[in-house]
Amino acid sequence: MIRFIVATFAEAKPIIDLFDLKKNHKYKEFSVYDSNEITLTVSKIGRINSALAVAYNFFGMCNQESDIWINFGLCGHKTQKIGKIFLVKKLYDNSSNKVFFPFVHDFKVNSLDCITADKKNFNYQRELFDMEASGFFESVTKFVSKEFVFILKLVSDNEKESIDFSSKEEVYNLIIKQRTFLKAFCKNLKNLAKKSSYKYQEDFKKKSNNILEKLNFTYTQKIQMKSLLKLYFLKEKKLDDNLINTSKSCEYNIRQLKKQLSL
Amino acid sequence: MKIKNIYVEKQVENHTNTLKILNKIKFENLITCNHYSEIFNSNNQNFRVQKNHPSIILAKKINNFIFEAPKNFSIGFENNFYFSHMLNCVYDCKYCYLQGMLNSANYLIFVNYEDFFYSIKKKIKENVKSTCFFSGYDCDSLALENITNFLDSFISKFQYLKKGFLEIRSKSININILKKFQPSPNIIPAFSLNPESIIREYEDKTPSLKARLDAIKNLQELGWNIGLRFDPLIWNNKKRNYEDFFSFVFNFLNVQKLHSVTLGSFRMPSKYLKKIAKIRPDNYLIQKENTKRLLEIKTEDLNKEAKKFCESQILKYLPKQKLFLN
Repeated sequence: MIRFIVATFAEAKPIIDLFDLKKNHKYKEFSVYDSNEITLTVSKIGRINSALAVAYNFFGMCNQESDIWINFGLCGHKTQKIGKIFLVKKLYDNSSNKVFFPFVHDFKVNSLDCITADKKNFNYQRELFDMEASGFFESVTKFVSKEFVFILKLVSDNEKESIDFSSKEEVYNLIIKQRTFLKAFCKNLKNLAKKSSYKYQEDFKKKSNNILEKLNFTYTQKIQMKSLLKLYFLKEKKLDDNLINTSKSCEYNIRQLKKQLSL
Repeated sequence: MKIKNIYVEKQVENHTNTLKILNKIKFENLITCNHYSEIFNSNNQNFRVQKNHPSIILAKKINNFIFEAPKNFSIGFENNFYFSHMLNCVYDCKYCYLQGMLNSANYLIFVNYEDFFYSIKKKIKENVKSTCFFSGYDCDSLALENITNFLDSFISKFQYLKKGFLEIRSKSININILKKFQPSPNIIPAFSLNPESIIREYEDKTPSLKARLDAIKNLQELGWNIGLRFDPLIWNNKKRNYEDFFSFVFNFLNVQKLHSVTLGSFRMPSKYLKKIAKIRPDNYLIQKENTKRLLEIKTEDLNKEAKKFCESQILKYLPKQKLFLN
């Protein structure tokens, strides 16, 4: 699952259209749009809102460690052209003076440093300028590995020119121009998630749980049995339901499987 | 070598070794940081993903340049220490303890080689008897030499140290740096070996057994005394394989030009094993060892027979005083 955290609806709308996301009315505190593979949460402006949206996603929805997280939004820069898109490779939080280093993958996209501040700043710098990224990053990396976390920023204003932020149409057009890039980027990320997860994880989990439910294992026995079942699964590429004898004790079954695996 | 990101600590931005290393790598992003731990030590990192996209971090080591080696770890010297000018390795051995010890798979290079050398010199002075320093505990000593230049600067100074010995441990066949120097009796290139079937199954991205043996033979012919490290020797229960393996190795090489041979089985602190079992759910060896940990099965007893067998095989070819059991 790819999880977008986006500050405003104007920035979110092109993503919603591009990936054909539907509003999920189950969630009341934040506006959430989703499909089978992508979910988007509108956090509202500011790093605290962004951090809250991450926590809301993590605890309020079904999460997996291999989920991919993206903070997408508009940003300012001293000289970069409007419409250029960047991944953030170093992140400064203006309020706390903390520095973060997002992981930069081998994607074909330029990267720049970014400063997150609490107020809009028209004193443009050599770094990108935004109002959410540090809150998003600090929050999300509490829950998942930083290799699955991305900050994607699109330049909307610079020293010389700016889009009209009050025009939803202008914001929409600026973002939707990046449709090819955004599609390809998400496709790459899906591959990353796929490659990072163990192919048979779900299959093993389901089958081993079925077996473990058949007897009343203690906590320690359950851990030991699960480990033995994993080993058996790796060796035999299967887990049969009749692998344990329900008429015998837990200790007996652990002993038997241990023997079978020559441990 | 192409690396996407290089992180450099501000304090070593202008260090000679930093500049030399940067000259040798094609990179896209140069990112400065205050301290390497900002990137290297943070908790929420995925070792496996990083292994596919490693970055290089150039930093300065401030203290603790050398450490005492584990008690029974010796190749015949009274005093034994190890040091790591680099953490992590270009290879991807499934049994490697680094993936349990470190949070990051990025290559961390401490560029202040001069401080390592100073500490070594000091340690030699403190000890009356010979002292051995092991390089390559936490990295591969030769594999990244083309970039780090570590041995280039180190060997030229180390060869003149009396009472000091340097073991350069590696799986690499990148031996050009050693060819550059006259063989020195106090510098011992040492190569880790396993049967080819084990290399293919467990030692991803490493050179084949034959390639390693060719490199060793090449160095022997140039006059170097070589260390062979069957450590960890991964055991697959097929005695015949190991009989053939030892026969092949010792018949191929010049036994007279072997400095020492060590034999050690797979062992790992529980803490590391627990962590690796999580990041390598599909690896049988790791899962087996972790299961043994959970079921409190003592590994030592099980390996005794295998170790004894290997010892007897090695001693068919090698004088006993050159074999060290770890």
